[in-house]
Order: sequence, then C-alpha cells, then structure tokens
Amino acid sequence: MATVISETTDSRYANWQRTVVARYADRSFVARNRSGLELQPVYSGLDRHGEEAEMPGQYPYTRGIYPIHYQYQPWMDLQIIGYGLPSQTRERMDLLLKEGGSKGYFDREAYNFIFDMPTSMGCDPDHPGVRGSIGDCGISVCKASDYEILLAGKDLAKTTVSMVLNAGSPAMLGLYLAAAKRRGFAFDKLGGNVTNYIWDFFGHSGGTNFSPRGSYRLVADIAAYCAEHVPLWNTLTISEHNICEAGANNVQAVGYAIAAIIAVNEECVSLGIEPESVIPRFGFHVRYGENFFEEIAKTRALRRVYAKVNKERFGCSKSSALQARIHAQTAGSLLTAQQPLNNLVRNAYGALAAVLSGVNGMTINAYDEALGLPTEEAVTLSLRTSQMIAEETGAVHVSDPMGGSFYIEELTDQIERRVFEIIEEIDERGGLIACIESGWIKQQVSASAYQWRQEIESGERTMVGVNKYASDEPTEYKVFQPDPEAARLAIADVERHRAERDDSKCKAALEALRKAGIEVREGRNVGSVMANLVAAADADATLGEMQAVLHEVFGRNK
Amino acid sequence: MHDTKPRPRVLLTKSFIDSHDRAIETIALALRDAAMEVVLIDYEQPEDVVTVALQEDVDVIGISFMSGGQVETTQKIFAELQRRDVADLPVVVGGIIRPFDEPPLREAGVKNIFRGGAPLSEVVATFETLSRTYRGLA
Amino acid sequence: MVGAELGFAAKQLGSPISTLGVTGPPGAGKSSLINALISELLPSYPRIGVLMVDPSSPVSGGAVLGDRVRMAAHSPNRNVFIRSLAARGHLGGVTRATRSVIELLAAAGMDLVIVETVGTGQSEVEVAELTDVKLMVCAPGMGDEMQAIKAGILEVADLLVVNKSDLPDADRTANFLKGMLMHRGHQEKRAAMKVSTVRREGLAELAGAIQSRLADARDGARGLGNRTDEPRNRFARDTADLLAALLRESSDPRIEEIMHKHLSGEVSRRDAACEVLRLLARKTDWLDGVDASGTGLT
Repeated sequence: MATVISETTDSRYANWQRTVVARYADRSFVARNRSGLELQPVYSGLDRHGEEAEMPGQYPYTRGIYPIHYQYQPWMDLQIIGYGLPSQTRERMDLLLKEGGSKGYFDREAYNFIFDMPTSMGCDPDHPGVRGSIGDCGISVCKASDYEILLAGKDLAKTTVSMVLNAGSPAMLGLYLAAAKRRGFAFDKLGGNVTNYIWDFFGHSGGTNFSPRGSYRLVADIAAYCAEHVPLWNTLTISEHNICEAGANNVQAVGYAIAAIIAVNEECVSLGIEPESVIPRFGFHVRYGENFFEEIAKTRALRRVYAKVNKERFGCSKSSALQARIHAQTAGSLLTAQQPLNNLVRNAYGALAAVLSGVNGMTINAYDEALGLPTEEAVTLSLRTSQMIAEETGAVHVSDPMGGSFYIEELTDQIERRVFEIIEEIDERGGLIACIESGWIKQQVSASAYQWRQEIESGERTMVGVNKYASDEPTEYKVFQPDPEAARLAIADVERHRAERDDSKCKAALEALRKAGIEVREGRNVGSVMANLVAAADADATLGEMQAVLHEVFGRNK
Repeated sequence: MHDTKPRPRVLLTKSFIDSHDRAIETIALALRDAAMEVVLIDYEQPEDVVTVALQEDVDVIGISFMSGGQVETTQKIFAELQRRDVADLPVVVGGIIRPFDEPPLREAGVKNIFRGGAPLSEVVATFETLSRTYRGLA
Repeated sequence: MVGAELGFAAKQLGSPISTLGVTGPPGAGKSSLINALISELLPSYPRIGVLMVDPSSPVSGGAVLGDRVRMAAHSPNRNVFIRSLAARGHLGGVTRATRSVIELLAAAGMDLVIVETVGTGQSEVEVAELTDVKLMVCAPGMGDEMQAIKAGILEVADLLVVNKSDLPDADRTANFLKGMLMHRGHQEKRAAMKVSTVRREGLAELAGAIQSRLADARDGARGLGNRTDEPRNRFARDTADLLAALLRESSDPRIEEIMHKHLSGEVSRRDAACEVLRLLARKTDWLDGVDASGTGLT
C-alpha cells in the first residue's frame, strides 16, 4: 500500500487514499496471488469517458460503499434457519455455531430466522385454516416467551437477530423487544433486523397484508420508534430478490425497489419525520441468479440510483443515508427438483456474482430446497460454498474487481437509465401506492413471469435438467420431514398461555394499542404503535391478538 | 367476436397465508390463453373451496400448496365434496409436494400432481381433459 | 338445454328483486366497497347475490376472474351468493347472460343482486340498464381517468361514490363530481358521497342512500330496468341478435347468394338485407338445425 499521497490533491484517487489512511491507519491491503504477483486493493485509472474513475466508497457508490471492502471485513454469512418449535430450531442453531457459521461482524453471533407462514402472516397456531403449516418451512412463534426459549442464554447485546417476516413484522418485533426487556437487555444495545415485508405487494401479495396505505404508515411508525429507542436496529428490508422471484426482470425489480424507497421517504416526509433520521436503517435484499454479469451490473446501478435519489430528491447528505447496504441471496426460483445437485453449482456462481458485486451479507440457499426443507448436509454445503469463495478463490483481495470492464460499466449505465425511466413512469401514474392499488404493478410482474415461463415452455430459455439435458433418474434424495407433533404442541402451548396469563391486563394493553393505532393512522404520535406493541407483548398478548387490532385499524389488502 | 361454446371453468386456489402466487398466476394465464375461465381465490378453510367451486360451477379444482397442509387440506376438501354431493368433481394439486405426500394424496382421489417444472402444455391439456370428462363431453 | 329451460321457468315466476349496479375504473376499490356494503345491506336484504363481470381475453376468449378474492369474508355465509362472469367480448352477451342469472336468482328467492363491472365503456352502460340503482365509484386524484369518464356513465349513475375518503384529495374529487352533475342539469336525487372502507366511514349513509333509491325504484318499477322505452329497445336488440345468429349459421345457399351479390357491389347493403328478410318470411324451416345457444337468449 503506497503511503505517499499523490500530488494532485483533489483527484478521486487521492481522496480515496486519504480516506483509507484515516480509516484503516497503517494496515496494508496488498495481497499476492498464486503466481506471486502483487494485487492492489482497488484498480482504477480513467473511465470510458476519459475521466478519472470513481473510487469505492465515493458518491454515488457505484463501486461499493466502503473504500476497502472484504480485505477488511468479510461478508456476513447468514444461513436461514428455522423450523418447528423454538426449542427445535435452537438445536440447529447450536450445530451451525459448531460448524463455524453464524458469524456476525466483529465477533458477534448472527442468526437469520425464518418463520412458518402462520407466524409470518401474524396468525396464532390455533387460527382456523393454518394447522397444516405450523412449523413447516419455519419456526412457530406467537408470544414473547417463545423468543426467550429461542435465544436462551445468548448475550443479545452481542447477537444480531435477523427475522424474515411478512405482515407479522410489527407484532413480531414487539414480541422480540418484550423478550429482550424481560431478560434485562437495554434496547439501545440490540442489533438486528426485521425484513418488514409489509410494503411489498409484488412478491408477497399472495398472502394477507395490511392495506397499501396502512402498510406504509406502519413502516414509518416502526422506523420512527426504532430511531429513538432501538437505534442499532434495521427496520426495513426492500427485497429486490422477492420482486424478481415474483417474476420481474432485473430492471423492473430494481426500479420497483427504488420506487418503494421513494414511497417510504415520502410517507416519512408527510408525517414530519426527517428522512435522514430513518433511512440509514433501511437495507436491500438482492437476488443473485443466472444472469451472471447482469447481477453485478444491477448491484452497481442500484447503489448509484439509491444514492442519487436520496440526495437529489430527498436532500440527504449523511453518507449513511446515501449508502445502500445489501444482503445477497441466491435465487430460489432456480432451484430445480430435477437433478438437484445442479443447484450446488447454481448457488456457487450466484454467490460469486454477489461477492464480485460487493455485498454486506449473504444467504446461500440449500441445494435441496425445491424438494422441501433443507437437510443438515445441504445447509453445511451452503456454508462451505461461502467459505471456499472467501478463502480459496482470492476474489476478496480486490474491491470492485469488475470496475473498468467495458461490458460491466456499459451495462451498469444502461440499467441505471432504464430504472430512472420506470421511476418516472410510476411518478406519472401517481406514485407507487397508486400503482399498487390499481393493480398496475401486479400486472407488470405477472406479465414478466408469464413471458419467462413461455420462454421455458418453447425452449427459447434453457433450464438445464428441466427442459434440456433432462434425465429419467428418480429423485432419491433425503427430504426433510417436519415434525408432525409440532402443530399439536404449538396449539396446546398457546392455549395454556392464554389460560395462565392476566387476562384483564392483556385486554387493556390491546385496547391501548388500538387507540394508538387510530392516532397514528391520523398522522399523530407516529412511533406509538410500536411502543404499544411492545407493551402488549409484555402483557402476554399473542401475535394473532395484536395482529387483529392492527388489521382493524390499518386495513387489509384482501 | 361471439361466444358459441361453453367454456371450461376452473377454480385455482391457495391458502390465504401462502405468500407466493407466481405459479398459480402463471397457470391461470396459461389456462386463460387456452380459452378457459379461471376463478382465483385464496382459501382460509378447506370448506370455502367447495363453496366457491359450487357457486362458480367449475369443472375442475386446482390447489397450489407451498407451506404445508398438502394432505390434510386435500382430504378435508374431498370430504366436503362428498358431503355436498359432488364427489366426482376432479381435483388436481401442484406446488411443493413432497414424496411422502403422494400416496395419501392419490388415495384421497387427486387426479394429477404437478411439480414445478411441469410443462405448461401438459398442465393445460390435463385441465381440458378433466373438464370435458366432467361435463360428459368426452 | 337445461340452462335455457331453467331461465325461462325462472322468468315465469316473476318475483321482484332489487338490483344495484357498481362500476368504476380499476383501483377505485369497488370490490372492497361491495364487500363492506354487503355487511351493511344484509339486515334489510337477507339474501344477496353478487355478480362480478370481468373482461375476457380478446385473443383467446378465456378470462381470469379474480375479483371475488376481496369478498372472502362472506364465503361461509350461505345467504350470500357470489358469481364471477366473463364478459366474453360480446357486449350484448354479457347483458343477456347477466339478465338471465338475475332472473334465476330472483326465482331462488334472493332479495338483492349487486352487479359489478369495471371500466367506463359501452358495456357498462348496457349493464346499468338492467339495474335499478347505479353506483359509480372512483378514488381521489384519479386525474386522467376522471376526465375520461364517459358522459354515458354520468347520465346513468344515481350515486357517485368517492372511495378512500381518508385521502387528502377526497373533498376536491367529490366537489368535482358534484360540479359535473350540476353541469348536466340533473336533479338533486343524484348525489356524490364519500366513503372510506378502511375507516368504515360513510358506509351506513351510503347504504341508506342505496336503500331509499331502491325503494323508489320498486314503487314505480315492474322488475328489471326502469325506463319506459327500454323494454322495446331490449326486445328489438334481442330479436336482432337471434336473427344475426341464424344468418351466421344458416347453410341455405340462397342466403349465400344474396350475400355475394352485395359483396360484389351488385346490390346495396340495404337491398340485400331486405331481400334476406323477404326470403326468411317465406321460409318455415329456418330455425331447423340452427343452434343459437351462443346468443345466450333464453
């Protein structure tokens, strides 16, 4: 690492060097490859227009949000875990820890929990019509004590808890915070994230949700509450991944993702919340699938557009409000039931694309997920995939290694242009919420999904093992079988819980929640819904009971 | 353009808590393009499926499963079809169907099981055939 | 055909039934509004039928009928019958099929039928003709859609409903609609009302307004439709459609010959039509072997 600063003091490269010295002091980031050649931490020069190239960590962050990335801090590996009862998931958590996974930043532990559909949608296990889904595909949780079991003995001030949830997000966050409070942890030390997929009406519009306007109001409420009381908590994930999985192409997905950010920011502004006070706690969840180079270009375009929109449209100047943090996930829709081992390869190059794009965290799907819940073996292989990329390939030695490639830079520019066109069209149609309500977004995504499927059908698009190079082999892989007892136990547990609690205290808390909800719906005391959810959870209200109040006030999408 | 023949009518449904509807929507569009009328609903209780199937006079019921209840829900739907005196209304299922789900599903009377990756043309042909048979036009 | 016989038998019974039409652009929240109105109206109309008309694909003729998903709450209620209808691209077709279904529902003892259609086109005006009271629903700030609202709908609607009244633009939209009504010189019976299904506001008032207009229609009405020249127009249209179906399907070579004479320019359109009518007047077997089931006429 050259310690001499260039003579042209206002060049991008010089600024970058200065930042590196200030931030990382004397540490050297020079590496050597297999052939003994010295690798620079970042390459630069002139860009295609003959101007000095943007450096990583410089606005608009096309090349990454840090001046030096993986050389200093590797991505956080977050395998999704969760099935059955909290006690059963805890067993798998302990296994992962033993295998070297669950590592967060700076020696923290990190867990990425997925919940079963009833929990994710805010239904108690004894809700009519959900019995078959209890504990299947995720953990069944409906009260604060469930979190106490899941995280028993963990130092929550050193544990990052990520929760993948749909309409149940606000109430589930309430349950988690109540559990933390009971264990004596101060809220300002808690770190983690709730995906809060209530804003999403493309990937998840298949399930129940609040009304579109109600959703955005609740997003603002959670953001405002956490900004004040749980400042380390990430309050919203915009899932470009889910928009793709619903059928959108990359340009649409990035476009709608940015439109969602715009809608959230506008909601905050209309409520008198300063965007800069909440934006730093938003993040993206991005899909890495089959379009290897396009995945890299779209990531760079997303970062660039995000920075420009927040700065130019919302007047943000804090770098934390301009830097898009990204959690990567390999594409679920690519996982085929036919020739499942192919999926190991698909996950590997998807993960590689993510690393070359520069992401903060990564979830690599298990290869057998198309057959059912992942087996232990498959989960371990996903972890190994990440470890191999990190420690064998040398890809981590250079930040934004694709920067300067004619192809990648051109593709990045094109995607940026088309994304801005989509944003303009949404603006003309009255904004994202109006587009959701009129069904326009759903229509666009469905049409794209249908077109993709027709291309597969006609053979124009290949899926190896499915419509080409198929074989007659029987699928003899072990499929994870969820515990059929989980449903019975979960239902018995919640019934016992209701019988044993102080019912009048609980009712009073739910009534307070309802009143707070009405106030927030009218635009007053924003943040008080979340506060009352914590209080109600602490008064032993269940997930479904709190959710019923929220639906009453904030409506339903269907 | 005028209508001269009765069109196959189909009910496609999934649980209200299943969040993925890409598959069911794609099938709905494919069936529409094959000149069928497709009613789409989310069910809460299995009984709802049969109520809607009867109100809408459908020829085939297609259920998409994602997160669970594959066998239990299907069995309840068959029981309700029996109770409402339409035991021969054909039912097909699709989505995430595990190997251990198949025997009880077939035993319940499911006419076809579609997994992800099944060619659309096959799915469309199956619905067409089942509809014709049910109407006595085969 | 069982369907046709049932339809005819139902008509014979002639039970009175109240009919409410609901139309408006997509995104206005019609289905959610109907869902809320059903609850408000059930006390006065114990058995309610809902017909939802969706467009068919002009290419394939098929349709995806997804509106009823918003009425899932009423699914278990045996006194609420919900049916999705595809417009099948033939405007006359949907009107006749809808009429037949309404007659059947009346015979089955239903008290009220709500008919929902989307859009602001000609078919909506025709469907509106067979409903006693017509609602047009829009949402605030629909801007261009508002400007494009065809005159026909405004002439025909009894109640203009601004949904999502919790939005800031709601008052402005309601006033705009009132202005349009006054501009066309309507009596004050036609009103613009605001509702919010999320806040459950304005629903009881709207239900009340609907009920009083339905009662008025009943007092002066003879069943379906309420314009004096309407039955004759309908009869003329129905008969013309049957004639058209017969001509399309007929294998009589003389009709073929007349058509060719017109196409080659030898005979004017009017003269060719008159020649066909004269021909048919002489035939006694012209209905033989012809299946006019596609017209939906019962």
